[in-house]
Amino acid sequence: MTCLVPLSTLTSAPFNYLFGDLVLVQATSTNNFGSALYSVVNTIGAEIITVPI
Amino acid sequence: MQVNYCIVSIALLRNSPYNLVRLDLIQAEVRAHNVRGWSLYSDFNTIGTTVGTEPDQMTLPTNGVLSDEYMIDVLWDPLTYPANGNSPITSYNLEYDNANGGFMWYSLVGFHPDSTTLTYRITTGLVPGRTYMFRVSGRNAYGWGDASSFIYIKAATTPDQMISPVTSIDSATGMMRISWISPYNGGDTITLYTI
Repeated sequence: MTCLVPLSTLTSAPFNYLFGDLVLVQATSTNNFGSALYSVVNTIGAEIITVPI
Repeated sequence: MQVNYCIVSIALLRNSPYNLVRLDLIQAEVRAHNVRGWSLYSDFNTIGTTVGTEPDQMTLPTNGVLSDEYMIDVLWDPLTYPANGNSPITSYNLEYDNANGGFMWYSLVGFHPDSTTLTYRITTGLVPGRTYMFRVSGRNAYGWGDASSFIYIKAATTPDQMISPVTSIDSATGMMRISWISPYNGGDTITLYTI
């Protein structure tokens, strides 16, 4: 499963990521019985990039 | 002095012409007879045994906190005076439908042999994701009371913990792509992902 997040969202409040920052993500799922524990946060993955100057 | 007695069915006293109801004092008078005739009747007793009946219908059993997709923990409240029919409860019968939609009911505990436990855990034979129906009834010396209404309990629990999502830059849009794998749903449909 996938979702797409604009980088502008991540570089704005409340996230305020800067160029080169690793974007940290964790996830959980919920059913009628409640929510699972959150996953461990990723330690590798995409970093913030910006458009060329 | 000789003590004499006779045994009378409570059911007889609950029916016409006596029509006694639960907690009514059973009053009796007696007289004696010999070759010269009958004595006067005694006074009625003012203390003594009161009428007992079958127990009341029980309240709905509840789903215990230990239930998950492989075990269902059912609890129920005891029948106390006077809901016990004015007679000690000798057994509670917990039944379930084995997920057949209430078509047939099967006793889990208490029908035979007697049991006065107030909780029962099914640990075998459950199919994760299936919904089971439960009801309970009480018995005393006068018989079984009506079964409670039934409760639905689904053999399920919360989803498993997810593995870490994977992030990448989507080459088509330039946006951050966050991907994840659906975890085991615990026997119930996942309704929400929170990233």
